[in-house]
Amino acid sequence: MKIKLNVWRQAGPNATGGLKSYDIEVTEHMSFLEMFDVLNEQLLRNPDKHPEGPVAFDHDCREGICGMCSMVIDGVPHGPNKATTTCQLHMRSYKDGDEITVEPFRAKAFPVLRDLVVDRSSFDRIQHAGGYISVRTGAAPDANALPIGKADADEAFDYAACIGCGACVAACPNASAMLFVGAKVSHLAKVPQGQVERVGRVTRMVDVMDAEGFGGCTNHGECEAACPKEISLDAIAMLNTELARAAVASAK
Amino acid sequence: MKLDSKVPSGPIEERWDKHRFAMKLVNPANKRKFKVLVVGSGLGGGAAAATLAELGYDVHCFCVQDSPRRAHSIAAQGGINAAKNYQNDGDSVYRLFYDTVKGGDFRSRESNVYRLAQVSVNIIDQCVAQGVPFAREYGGLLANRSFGGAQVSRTFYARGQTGQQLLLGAYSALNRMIDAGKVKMHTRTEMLDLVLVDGHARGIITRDLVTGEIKRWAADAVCLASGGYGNVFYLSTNAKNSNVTAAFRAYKRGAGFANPCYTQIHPTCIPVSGGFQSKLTLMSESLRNDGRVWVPRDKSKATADPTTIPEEERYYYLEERYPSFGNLVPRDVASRAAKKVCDEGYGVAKHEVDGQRNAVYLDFAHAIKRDGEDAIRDRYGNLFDMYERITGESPYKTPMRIYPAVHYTMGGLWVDYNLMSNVPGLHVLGEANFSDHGANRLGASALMQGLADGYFVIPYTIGNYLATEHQGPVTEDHAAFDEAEKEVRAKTQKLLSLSGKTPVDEFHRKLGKIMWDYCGMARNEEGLKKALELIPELRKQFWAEATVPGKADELNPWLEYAGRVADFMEFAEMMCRDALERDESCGGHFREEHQTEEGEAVRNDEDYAHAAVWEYQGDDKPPTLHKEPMKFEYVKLTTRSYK
Amino acid sequence: MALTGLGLVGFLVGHMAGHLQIFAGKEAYNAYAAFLQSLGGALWLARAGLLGLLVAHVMSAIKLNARNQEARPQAYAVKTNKATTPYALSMIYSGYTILAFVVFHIAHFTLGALPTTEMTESGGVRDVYTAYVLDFQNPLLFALYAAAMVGISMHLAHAVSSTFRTLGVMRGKYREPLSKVGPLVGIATGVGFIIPPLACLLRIVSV
Repeated sequence: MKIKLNVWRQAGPNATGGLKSYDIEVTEHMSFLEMFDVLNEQLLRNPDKHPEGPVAFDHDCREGICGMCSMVIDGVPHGPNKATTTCQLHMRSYKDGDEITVEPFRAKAFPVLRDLVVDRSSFDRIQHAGGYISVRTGAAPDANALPIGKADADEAFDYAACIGCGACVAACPNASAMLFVGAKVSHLAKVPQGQVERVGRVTRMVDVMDAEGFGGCTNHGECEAACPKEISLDAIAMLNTELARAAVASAK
Repeated sequence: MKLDSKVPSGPIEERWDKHRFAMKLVNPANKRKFKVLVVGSGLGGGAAAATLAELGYDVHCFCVQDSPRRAHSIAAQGGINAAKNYQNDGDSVYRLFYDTVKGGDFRSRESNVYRLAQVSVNIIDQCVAQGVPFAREYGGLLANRSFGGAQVSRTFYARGQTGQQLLLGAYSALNRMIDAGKVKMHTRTEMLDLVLVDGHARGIITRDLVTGEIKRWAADAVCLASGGYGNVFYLSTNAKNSNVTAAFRAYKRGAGFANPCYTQIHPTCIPVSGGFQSKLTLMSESLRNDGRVWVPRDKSKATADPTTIPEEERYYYLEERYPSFGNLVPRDVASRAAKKVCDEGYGVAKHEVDGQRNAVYLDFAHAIKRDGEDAIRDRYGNLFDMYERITGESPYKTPMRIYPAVHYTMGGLWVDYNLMSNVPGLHVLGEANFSDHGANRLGASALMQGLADGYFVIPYTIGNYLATEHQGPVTEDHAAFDEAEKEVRAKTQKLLSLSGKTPVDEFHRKLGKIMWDYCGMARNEEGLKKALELIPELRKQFWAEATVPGKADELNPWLEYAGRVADFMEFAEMMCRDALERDESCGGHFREEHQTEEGEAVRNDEDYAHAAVWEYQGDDKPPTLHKEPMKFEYVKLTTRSYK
Repeated sequence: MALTGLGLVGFLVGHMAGHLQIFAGKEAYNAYAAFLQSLGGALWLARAGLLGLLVAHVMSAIKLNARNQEARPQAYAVKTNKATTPYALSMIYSGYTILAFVVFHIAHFTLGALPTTEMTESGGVRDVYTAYVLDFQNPLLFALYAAAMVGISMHLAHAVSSTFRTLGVMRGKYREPLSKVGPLVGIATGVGFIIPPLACLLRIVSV
């Protein structure tokens, strides 16, 4: 089938970008990224016709877990399908003659490096600021010494399933990172091991989140709808509770 | 090349303890003066970087991804083994050791494997303390499952994403040390060469993948945890950025490469659907606990709706051939059996590849009938969803189609008991080394080995190197750095000067096809010799016809890729050479000349119970072969039988 | 945002209850107005508090809005929303509408600065009732108020549930029910406020 692709092309971090159109022939079994592989092969084979060169895009595991692939596809991060990363989106979701616009994740905290590649290191910096339980290697008690109720363990897992792709930020009308930070904070707040550092963790992580230039949450819910791992908005409610708890605790 | 395994003497249960006591310690106050470079941030690298920093070393960690959390360890689905015996079903350190040596088809080093089994229990403790949300029972204790043919339930798991959860644990430990200023993390940074000073590994040369800056890093020791080389096959379950470059550059600097021909072909992957295919997706091995593998007995029904084929017309070939293990035979056995039935014309793939329908059914209808759809959804829901996303078919309604794919590489840089290569100061961890899995890795053992190396082995052994063999300070001004940097720049320029018409992808795809056809699931002398002719030809074509766009000083994914493919093209030759040299069948290495009438692998312990270690001699000369004999004092050499 | 908003919603509900007393007749309504006036210092305290809440709410809204604008310097060429609502997306506009309305409303009733019905005295107290009823018989004034009430409805429809999430209570099994409270409060408030003027316009309530 024939697809018309409008792709954001930007030569470097400080270059001006713009959408450029390409016509491409694909089959329904291809993944969305394989379509880009085919496009790039076309562009590489015709350097005279396409002096702009192939399209840079981030990808790695191509099985929906590493969180490296990004792309905003027709205005939705990771494209139209529920709980599906860009790499797992297949062209059978489209039909002959479709026109698809592909842009990079857009946020001040995710500057564009080239074409569809953005810098998401702000997420790492948030996690440096307390996104851990302080346990030295070798200092752990026996794993079964601390039973954890299945309900709590399952809920913690639901939050821990976050793959750190940044779709929540890209989808949010405010480019807010509350769902991501909420998931990280909630995972550790839900397990007993995370209790000791609970107060300091949330405060520091949110401070860094603010300093990185993410927007504020106004509860649109776009993050949840775009999240390929279906992290619930409950993470944000939980994050707010944790913040309130921390405020009370530090006031003591 | 001297291959001294440095395995301690005495009873195997006491060796690691004894060795830990025998090793020299670094004075706590001196640790901060030692700089250690860790290349890779997966389970091995991430765990090592964090733990070494906790001990006080000055650690720099490098990864090619934009975050350490994206290292390919993240993609492991099934689980991690540990000899906890929480299920009281007869497991023990000794049994895990025994199973691993046997599963590896007697080509691994007993002492290393025993240590692995010993520290496996500490790993689970460590991960739980970090907050890793393992599956639990209603009573709040940890749940286990049997996995990959093990007859005890020793596998700990976190739904279908154990790898991600364990990596997030290691990543959090790493974050803690980054936060403390003890680890400097360098993301989107690729190691392009190893620097040796007076024969010791004393630094690396890197390229910043965003700015293109080439940089020198002098240090007191180097740890390579750069993963496996499965992408030499082009199509594999590895991440697209997984590559052999760091390990291969170390090899070219003198590190021996052991058993490169040992590759693991995972039996349950989603089949190839067309020539554009960029990678293969694994479906966790745990599916074989409830799924039954079959093909229609009637070849003309290859494309018929499988649900309409009556029971008596189904060929449950694993259950028939291996009555005691059935669908749970080890990976290499299951993979070869699938290849065999497809080669015989029973395959059921929707698309033909080279005139063959390469797929078999993995059917859950019986399990759904027995346990109910909800129970099956509970166990495999996310895997079923993933399958449906990729193929458009629901495994609740129709059997999955699966076919083996390259998944893991057991070969790697040779290391001694201390995880140090033959180049002093160069340590190698995780999939990048050769040590623990022999010729075949058991399911749920890769995560165990990565974390064992990173958390519990290297933190001790590196101290011994620094305390005993270390050569004193070296700076980035040393002539060895000048030379290495010059070579890296020259190679970069050479790649960028490629201005042919053919994208690098095409060469990689062709290389992959050669490797899959002649050095894949089944190998023979004739084919391997043919591959050894085809690979240099392809390499020549590559340097004449490939095109690499862009510049050196910018984000240039095509330049990165071209460098990695160029290395794969040299590396592939060594793999075929090793496969040719190993004139026996063992584990993942199946030489068609050596099989029983029923098609089972036949080992030759007399001549091949050794690690084959290759030493680089120059680009125009074949590498030389060295052997480290594998002695089996505890697990008796027997023929593996899963019948 | 949430705390100040919650305070303002509390006021709105009280205020609406007051207005609904128009149906109780002239005496009752005027008595209610007189009661409020009689509070004296307390009334001013309440007004100051209210003003404080409003200023804090508006200031943090402006700040939040600026931060959110800044957080995405380059807009998408194509942006498709899957979950949000028109009223969530227009919070800042409905907010400004309400602010403008509040100024107008104070000028209208509190200060009597508009050229509308002159306030007289009746039975010893200010005849707020008559002024109110006559004013809303003016279709133009009614339309203006009605438009503002649509703004308030939309604002609250998003704001109230949003507040529950910010306060952390709207999750798990409480998520579904509480997510419905916002739109309900929004509609109820809008309707509750517009019924008395509508009754005046339709002469159901008259002088």
